[in-house]
Amino acid sequence: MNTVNELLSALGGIATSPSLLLIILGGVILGTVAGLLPGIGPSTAIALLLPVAITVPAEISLPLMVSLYLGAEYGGRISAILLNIPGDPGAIMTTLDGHPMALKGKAATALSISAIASFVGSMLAFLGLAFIAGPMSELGLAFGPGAYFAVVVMALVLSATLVGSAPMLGLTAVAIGVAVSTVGIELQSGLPRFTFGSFTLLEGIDPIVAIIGVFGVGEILASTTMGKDSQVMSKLSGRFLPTGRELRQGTLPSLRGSVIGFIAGVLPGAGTTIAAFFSYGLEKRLAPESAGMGKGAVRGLVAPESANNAAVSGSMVPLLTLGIPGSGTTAVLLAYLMMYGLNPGPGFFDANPELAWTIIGALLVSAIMGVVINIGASPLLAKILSIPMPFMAPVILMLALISCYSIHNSVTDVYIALAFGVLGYVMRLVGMAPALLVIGLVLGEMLERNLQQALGLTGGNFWAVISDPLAMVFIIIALLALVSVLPWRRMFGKKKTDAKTKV
Amino acid sequence: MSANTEPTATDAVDEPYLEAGSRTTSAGISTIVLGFLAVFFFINALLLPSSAGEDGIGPKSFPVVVGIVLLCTTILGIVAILRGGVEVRPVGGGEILRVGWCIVLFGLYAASVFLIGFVEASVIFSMLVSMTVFGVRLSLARACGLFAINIVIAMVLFLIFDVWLNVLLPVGWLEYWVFGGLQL
Repeated sequence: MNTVNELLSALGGIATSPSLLLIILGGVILGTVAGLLPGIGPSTAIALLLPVAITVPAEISLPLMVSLYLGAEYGGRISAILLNIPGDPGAIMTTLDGHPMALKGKAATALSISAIASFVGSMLAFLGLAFIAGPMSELGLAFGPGAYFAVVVMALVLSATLVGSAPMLGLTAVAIGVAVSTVGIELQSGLPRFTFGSFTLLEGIDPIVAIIGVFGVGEILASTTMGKDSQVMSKLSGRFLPTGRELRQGTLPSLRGSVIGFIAGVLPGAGTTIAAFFSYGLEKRLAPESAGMGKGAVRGLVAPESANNAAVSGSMVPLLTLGIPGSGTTAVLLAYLMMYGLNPGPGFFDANPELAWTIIGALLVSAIMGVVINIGASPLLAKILSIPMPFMAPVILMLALISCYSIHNSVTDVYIALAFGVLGYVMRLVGMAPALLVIGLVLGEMLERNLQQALGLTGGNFWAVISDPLAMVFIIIALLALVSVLPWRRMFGKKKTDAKTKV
Repeated sequence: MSANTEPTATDAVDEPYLEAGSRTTSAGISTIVLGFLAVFFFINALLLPSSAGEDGIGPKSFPVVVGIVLLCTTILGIVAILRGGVEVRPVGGGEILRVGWCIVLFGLYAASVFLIGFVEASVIFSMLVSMTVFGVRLSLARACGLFAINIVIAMVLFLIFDVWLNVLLPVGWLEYWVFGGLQL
């Protein structure tokens, strides 16, 4: 009952505040545009908004950021359907049936059906977030430093093994992020680490600078390959409103996608991409041959779209209740919360109830605004998509420069971001997800701090830290995740495979 | 191209991108960068002063453990890359040149912004990125049009961030003339 009261109070607060409503509307529009433009995405857009965020209180900037995040998931589908290029990683699976549908002359229908599916996913996941977040936050209060250390280890391992092309490279990306988090003065001893005589590095590397680098600059460096052929846009043809048959075809897949998306969102590091991947995979298994999956099937379009939007709210659960990012974008949000001196995690709801519930309420309002904008303004949004990357890229780099510079009014931060941009580009070459580096970076400090506290409590006995029952559970989950990604088939199943091939 | 597609504004952009890429080059670049990072971090972690406390953990312990993990995972990752167990995006010489040029331009942009002002540096940077990195070839008239658009974009960004949001951006003569003179 308390949850309902808190939620209604937050929604009432948003509804009666025109400025907050405008902020959320602005966030959804910005997010939709950022999502539909290939090469930007929510993480980059949120990182680039830093100069705006630091001038306003958290009560305004955080609803702006979450509405932008959800808006980007709505927007990502537009380029996936019209260009066959996902605007953001969460829309990768949308291309499989969305673009074929557009090629069949039903682009407008595909856009409206997917917007409705996104709305369903957002709404269901919002309910999940609202009713799970509170109790889970209470549960988190039972964690000591040892258990917390184990949770962070689990989150890092799960992120590394779930995202990207190869688990080992995922672990490398996470380890690079943790390594970067050790730069600067070590708080317990006060000694500098990896500063190489630089005063700027004494404060450590600001996560926001690294984020702008790997996402903003890195994405632009990778987009220098974007040519004319990759931006041939489908006509916005077909009827805007879906038929009753199409709606019936999409209902169950959309509901299944929402549930899968929410669960995938809650998993640390999994995020929208994995959510869309799982839900599409399930629909492909369930669909009969006649459904035409991969050839413009409604169920193939709605399932990943519901899932990636549901994952947004899902990823807020570990962020707000445990301080663990559920996706790359929530890692950026975590960096923002830390910038404001707020520590999301156990006790966050007790310490900042109004802010926490405003963030959740903003997700609901964003979902409603998102569906209205994305159906009503589809033709306009499609026009934005025709702006070529060669003219968009310099503007993004200008924003990257302003965002980095605004943190400490220092050009050194711009060069650090450039270095991270190069690293982000190299990571993309081998399919390493830059989000993993960010997750490692924002969780690295938490990992070391909790380890130090836990070792302090146990007199330096590491075994005592991890043998705590709660910590043990998380460590076992992490180990299982590691074991599950080992190349077992290559080690033991080679002969069988060879035999099969011969047959 | 399908019957349902139509050309867009991107047709104004010349296409220098259809080049044969090499997976070996991508694998080589990523191996060198990742390997260098892991070795560099590990060696420097070993060189940190230990000064461990009673609980046995000092400023050195955590980075050394992270360094070991980083080194191990990087070695295994590099092995996976070299054995073809990872999907590597092929990269050609042209792309490397464009990326390198983009890095140089951004570095010069960051340096020049303090010498000539935000708007001036941004306009030059935008023109150079569009024309060199992305290979846009424009007639004189279109180049002038793009130049004017870039001035407007840079001025709008200056107005939003410097004037309204108080992010202190370096002021050049154009910004001073437009905004400084008006005492905004």
